[in-house]
Formats: sequence, C-alpha cells, structure tokens
Amino acid sequence: MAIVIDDQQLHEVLRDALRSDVPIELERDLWPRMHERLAAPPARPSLFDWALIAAIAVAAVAFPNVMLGVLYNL
Amino acid sequence: MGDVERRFVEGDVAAFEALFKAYQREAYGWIVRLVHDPAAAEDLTIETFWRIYRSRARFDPGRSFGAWTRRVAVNSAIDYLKRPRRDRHDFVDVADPVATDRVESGTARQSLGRAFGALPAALRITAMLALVEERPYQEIAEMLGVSLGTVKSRVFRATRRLRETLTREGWQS
Repeated sequence: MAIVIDDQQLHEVLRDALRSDVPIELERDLWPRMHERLAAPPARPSLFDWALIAAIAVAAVAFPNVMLGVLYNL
Repeated sequence: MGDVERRFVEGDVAAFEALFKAYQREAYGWIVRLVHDPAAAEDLTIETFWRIYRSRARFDPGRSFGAWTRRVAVNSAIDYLKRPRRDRHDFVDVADPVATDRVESGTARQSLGRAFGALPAALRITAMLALVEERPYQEIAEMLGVSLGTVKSRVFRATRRLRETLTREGWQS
C-alpha cells in the first residue's frame, strides 16, 4: 500500500534530508588566501595555446568554408 | 556611497580587504549551506571575492555591497553545482538516515536526496533557498537576479519533480 504524503510533509522531509550538519560558521580568516590570489601574476598563454591559435589561423586561411561550418556548429 | 566602497571601486586593496573581512563570513555561510562542503565553500568564497574584485568598476554605488556579495556567492555556488558530480560533494551523501516520527522518512529522505541531486543547478539552488532555508521569495529573486515569477516557477517545478520521484517509488501525494 502506498504511503500518502502531503505538500507540507514533503517539504519537511526535504528539510530533514538536506539541512546540512556542516557548520556554517567560517573557522578562519580567508584574507591571506585572497591576498595570495590577488598577488599572483595573471595567467599567461602557454606555448600550446599559441600553437593552437596558430593552427586555427592557418586552418581559417586554408579552409575558410570548413571554418564557417565549425563556427556555425559552435 | 561610503568611503570604503568608493575606494574599493577605485581599486584600493586596503578598502577591498576591509570589505572582504566584513562580508567573508556571510558569503561563506550562504555558500556552505548550498554546497554542503566546507573546503569547497572556502574555495568558492575566494572565487566570489575574486569575481567581485575583478568587476569592481561595475559596482553600483547606490546598491548594497552585501546584497551584491550574496548574489555573486550564490552564482559561484550554482557554477560549482553544474560541474560533473565526480568533482564535487553530492547531496545524497548528506542525507541523514535517521527517521522522524512524522512519516517513515528514512527511505523518503534517501529518495529525495537522490532526486534533489538530479535537479538542474538553478532549480536545486532555488528549492534549497525556498524550501530548506525558507528564505522569502523576494529575497531569493534578488539573490539570483531573476523575477519573483521565475522563483515561484522554479520552486513549483522542483517540487513537482521531487513528487514524481516519490510517486514512482511508492509514495503518494
């Protein structure tokens, strides 16, 4: 036999299931990590990135119709 | 606009530090409620303020910095929850197997945990804020940057999907 559950009960079970036992208080100051991230040098494109850009540029010149198709499908 | 906010918009790191220290706990609290993982919540708090710092020029001085932070924090949590499950903590893992006296809810909780984990991130976050955290719909709309109608619609759709799952598993509405 199926068990009947109304909206209120559904929401209560949902709260029971999903209310986290994880403490919601932050236990330490995150500023040192934030400061570290601010001070980090910006990411620079790698050699692979440049090679990929060059390959795409060559393909765009050599096979313009194919590139249009690729762009259309993006 | 306060002096600290004005200096922040101009790129003053000391002003940013003051705002960070004033709002990091609130941002972390919202994020950890949504992702249930303290380590991920710390990373996402940093990500939230990184996004805030990068887009400081777009900060509207007429609005609350706290409200902006909440919005960016919730969006960071949504982005996290959109990642493949192997890269994040799953809601199923947090379901408490202890039954309540209202309904035989051990199985229902596990079913709901699974069904909830399968919801699209936007529905999941909206339902979490509305049904679990019991925040007012208007506040949720402001946090998510959507209309009140969208919040109501998402809560309705999330509830319907969860109910469909329970019905399939032998529970009836």
